[in-house]
Amino acid sequence: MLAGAVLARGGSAASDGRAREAVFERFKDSVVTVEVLPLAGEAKSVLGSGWAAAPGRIVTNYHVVGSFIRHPDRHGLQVKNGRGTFPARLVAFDLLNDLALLEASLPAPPLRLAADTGQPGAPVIAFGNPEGLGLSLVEGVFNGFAEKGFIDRMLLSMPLNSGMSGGPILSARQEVVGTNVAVSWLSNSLSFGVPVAAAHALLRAAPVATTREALAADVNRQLVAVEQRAFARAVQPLLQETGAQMPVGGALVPRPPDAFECWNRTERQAQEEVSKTSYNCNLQFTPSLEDVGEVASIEVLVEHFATRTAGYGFYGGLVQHAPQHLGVDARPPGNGLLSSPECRADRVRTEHLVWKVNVCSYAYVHHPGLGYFALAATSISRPREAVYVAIHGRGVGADAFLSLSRALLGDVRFSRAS
Amino acid sequence: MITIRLLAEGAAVREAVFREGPVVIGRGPESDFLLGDASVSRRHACVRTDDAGQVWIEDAGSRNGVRTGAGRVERASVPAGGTLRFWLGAAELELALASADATLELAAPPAQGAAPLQAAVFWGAGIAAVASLMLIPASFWSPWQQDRQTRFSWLVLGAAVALPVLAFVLVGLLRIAGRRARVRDALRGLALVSWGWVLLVLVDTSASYLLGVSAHGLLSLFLWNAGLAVSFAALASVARRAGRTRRFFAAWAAVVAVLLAGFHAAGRLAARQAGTPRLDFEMNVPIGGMTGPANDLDRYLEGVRADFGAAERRAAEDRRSSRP
Repeated sequence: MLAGAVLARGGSAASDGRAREAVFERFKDSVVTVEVLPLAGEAKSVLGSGWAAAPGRIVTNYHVVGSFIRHPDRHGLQVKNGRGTFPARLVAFDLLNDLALLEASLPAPPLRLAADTGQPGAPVIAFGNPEGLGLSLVEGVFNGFAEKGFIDRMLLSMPLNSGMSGGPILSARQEVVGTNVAVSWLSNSLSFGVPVAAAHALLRAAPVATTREALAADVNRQLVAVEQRAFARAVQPLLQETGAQMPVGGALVPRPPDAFECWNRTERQAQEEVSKTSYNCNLQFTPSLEDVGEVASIEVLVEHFATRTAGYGFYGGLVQHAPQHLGVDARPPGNGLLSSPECRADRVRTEHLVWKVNVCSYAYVHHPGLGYFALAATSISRPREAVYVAIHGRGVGADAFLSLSRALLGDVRFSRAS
Repeated sequence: MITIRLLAEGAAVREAVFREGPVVIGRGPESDFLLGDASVSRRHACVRTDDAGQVWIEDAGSRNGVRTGAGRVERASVPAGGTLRFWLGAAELELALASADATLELAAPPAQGAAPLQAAVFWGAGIAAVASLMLIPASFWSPWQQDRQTRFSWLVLGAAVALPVLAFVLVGLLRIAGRRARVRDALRGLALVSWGWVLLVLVDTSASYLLGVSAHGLLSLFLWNAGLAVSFAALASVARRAGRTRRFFAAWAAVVAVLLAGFHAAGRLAARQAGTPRLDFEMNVPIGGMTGPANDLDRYLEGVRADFGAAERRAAEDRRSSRP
């Protein structure tokens, strides 16, 4: 019914079907399959979707053409629609919003771009090429913007599949309001889209040279903005807020900024001798690079442990728990992605507690200023009660990670007096 | 004057004094100093005085030979003013240049039943030390580990079996090296070394409450390596009951210490080449609010920043070297 409403703005079931066919017919040439082809070797080609946004200009996702951007000398780009296959060229890309702009002499009319995403509750349809099987159309509802996250994402009730990445999201007025992006998060009927404003900006962007050096330099230039945004969204609020605390079991912890998605869990362990409360937070919708994976990604885990019995053995158990979330591996020098790790272990005093802390950092070889940081800290202030904090930063700078660690760790305390 | 003493458990049990050499020692009835041990040849060795007044023990073509602290020898002299300890087969003897007025207290040979009892005591002490080593670490008492009794029983059982086996292995190794030791002595050595480790763990743990993490790390490294060196030397010295024990022990400890330092350096180099993270999760259990000296959070994080700076410099090197 909903689809009918979108397509024909009201009408009978019979006209719904006809209207759907008409929309399909009208847009089928303007929605394309984007393919990244390896020029040599056995690597598989990457498939995604794209849409004609202006004459000779096609919008798709950054992550669809990511392997081309990393190694332009080793890949070719092409777009396909019902009329044939056309060679394509990269014009610009937007790492933060996960968009890329291609150029191809596609014999198809460009889609009309809306000025903005429209009102929440509006019916929408998405086009794409799920799993490379062929052009598909999915109907759903635009629910406004996801409340949590690193950047603004359209929240859509519709089942998108991975090959539909880069396809257009159309409003009832048959204007593009967004571009499909990363799909199925926790549930496969929830999907996300990039608001149309990002496509408007990308169409105005200056074209980039498609040499390996020029693209690498552009990625690093955009990473600076990505990192600044991570700092502004995930760290800055903690530095400004004046002591907003939240309970995690018997501990009081600074409330993570709104950009974090968090969830809570309490369980009893070791035959009821220990109660453990976990609080996990991470940043959603962070961009991802081909070589090092997620960037501007921050994860926080806070756990509170309490035991009623022997305090001596309690710490014996915590010693074994401490390495579990640190997640650091050996990296030999010269591996091409990360430096070998630098680690530091110490007993550390904060205003309220004493901790045993380990921090390891790895610098990214091709993205100066950014690295992977891992912190694991266990409080050792009380015999039968302890807090465990693990913080991971992937693709962040030292400032962001250290400020976050200082703000979080520095203000943890127990809610009960000893 | 030449004094020959037969020893048992390091104590003299028979002594004979001769005005001058040669003195024949052996199992044969014609010997001047008669020994009853089956490992001694009929005419085993001969004590002579040379023109310079030096007193020598010489192998007289025996089957099991003459052994001193330096192993099997053809002949050996008594050091000036001292004594020479040597073995003819399993018989332990001592050769001394005695003055006419020297007196000696003869000890009764040890009772026959005491040896197995002593061995059992050493064995028990060794098991107790190994059990203590398991009970001291907090991880044994972790509430997440529920099979404590089973693990403890297995460990005690394992130690009960392993200690005598190790003692036999040690005696065998020492014999290959040309030294004689009894299983009882080996068991005593193992028990001593095990209790030494208990002491070391206690000292190490106490030090962690007094020192900062890095200072304690250095001390710990020293303690554990020194512990290993001393343990090796102590076990190798099991065969030495008298004479140059101290020098022998020091030589062994020095050799092991040098080897350990080499291993440590090689390990660090290998870790650097493999890019292995160096982590330390040891935690002091808070005792009456005491956890040991702690660093300030800001200073610690500044250290992390410096670490990342070092990582960035290495990443820059990698970047330069990977550029075509």
